[in-house]
Amino acid sequence: MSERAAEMSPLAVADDLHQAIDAARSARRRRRRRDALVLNGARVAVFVAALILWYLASLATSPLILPGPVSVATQLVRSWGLIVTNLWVTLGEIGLGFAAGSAIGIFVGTAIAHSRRLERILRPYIATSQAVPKAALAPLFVLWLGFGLGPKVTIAALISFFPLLENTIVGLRRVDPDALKLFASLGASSWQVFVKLRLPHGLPYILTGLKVGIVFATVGAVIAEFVTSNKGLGALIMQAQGNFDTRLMFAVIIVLTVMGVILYEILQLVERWALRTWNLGEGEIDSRRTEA
Amino acid sequence: MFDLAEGGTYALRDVSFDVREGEFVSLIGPSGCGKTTLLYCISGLEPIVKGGIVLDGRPVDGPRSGEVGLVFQKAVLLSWRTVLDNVLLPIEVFGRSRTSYVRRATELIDLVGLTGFADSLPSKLSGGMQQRAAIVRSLIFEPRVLLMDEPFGALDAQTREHMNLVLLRVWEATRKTIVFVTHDLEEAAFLSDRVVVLTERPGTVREIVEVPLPRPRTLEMRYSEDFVRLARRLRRLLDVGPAAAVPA
Repeated sequence: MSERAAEMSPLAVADDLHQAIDAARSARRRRRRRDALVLNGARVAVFVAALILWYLASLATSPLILPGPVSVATQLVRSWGLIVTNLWVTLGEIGLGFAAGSAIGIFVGTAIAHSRRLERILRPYIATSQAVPKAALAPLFVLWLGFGLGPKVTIAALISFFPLLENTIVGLRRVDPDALKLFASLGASSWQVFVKLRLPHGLPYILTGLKVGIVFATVGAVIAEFVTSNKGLGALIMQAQGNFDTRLMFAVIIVLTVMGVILYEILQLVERWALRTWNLGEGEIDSRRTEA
Repeated sequence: MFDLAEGGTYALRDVSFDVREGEFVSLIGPSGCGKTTLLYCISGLEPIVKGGIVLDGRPVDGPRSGEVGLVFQKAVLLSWRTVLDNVLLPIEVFGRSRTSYVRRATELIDLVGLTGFADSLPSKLSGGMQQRAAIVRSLIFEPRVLLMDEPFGALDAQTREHMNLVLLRVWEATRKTIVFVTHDLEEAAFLSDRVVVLTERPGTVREIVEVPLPRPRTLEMRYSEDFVRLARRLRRLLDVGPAAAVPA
């Protein structure tokens, strides 16, 4: 190859090379575009198939058990006002619960990450409390906090607390031991180690915790509404059930699902923005993602 | 400069040698002989059971900020900081003004051959380049001593040879006192003024060997008679002991 290249003029070689590279590039681009098209097509196909399946199943059963997609959609439009009113209630509970739960989770996690002793004392209790089905505590919180916002926010906070606790501890702890030696050799204070090493290292973990936390908070708020409420989407589902309004139940479930996805996506955007802004998310987190 | 008298009994014992100002001294020995431990003792990160280390006339009783520069086998750069920000980390930790060190940082970055990479993130750098940034970070605050723990051990042979030259250039420009731990006796011979050969655990000083090669060192010297003789001698010193008694 080098002999042939020597015979040709360098310029010609360069030209050939450029053309070859360009051709390879555009071929790759074309292939990628085609792959994306196939992928999206397949996704739409799955969705349509599910709708058809749903429709056929609804024909075979009573609308009280399984209303068809069209009647659910109609119901969704007809009850839109009612659904939105309750949506705001549920969103408020999720927001408050998630904010409180994640703030406390990050705070306690930071404290535990800084003290081996504290962690060793609390470890069994944290593990045990994670095993407690938090939803089962809802009736208890109603007893204690009444029927208002209190029990719903508390349950949402309690459930979203744990992923943040865990991720904060892991993120702040799992720093390179050599980096700790480096900081020690420089005589860094523990505050400096926290701000310059642990926090930037832990932030991606905390952001992941927030994404899990918002989903948990949603589950918590809806379950709490099941138990107590006359307001909110969870309450609306219970009412619809009482009235044998299966179509409304389906409509609310769809709204809840879409809301959950939107909340998750918002945090996903926040995460991406934060990681890009602070140059985080390279190495460490990637490897953790592939582990998980 | 150092005086390690009667060390503890486990990792190291009866280690005693001194390092002169501006000298390049290597520590070699079989793996697990405690050469890395010795390095951390000098840095003050590892406590000594018995005996003492004197750095600059004062006994070492803990990490002294600003006096010891550490270079690890890994570069240990913070992935979210650019090369320049990594290099200036010690300055931030000491609470000094960053701006007054930017010029020195740039000079050192040029010296190790990282010109143009000051604003790059470590992930964009090769292993050898990352290690060069780590060397700059250890030099930025003018430490009294540079302690290097197998800094090129993770690099391929070619990169390692190149890094040896970079380090010699840095040493000639800054005249830092360097204590260099390696398991590669040729690397030790090529770089050092003196080579301290340690025995197996618990490590003691087997011999301190003067390197007869002139300065500045060139890659050609690696094939000189003096070098080969020296390498052979170091090899023999490493091979004495219980392990060598077993026929190969």
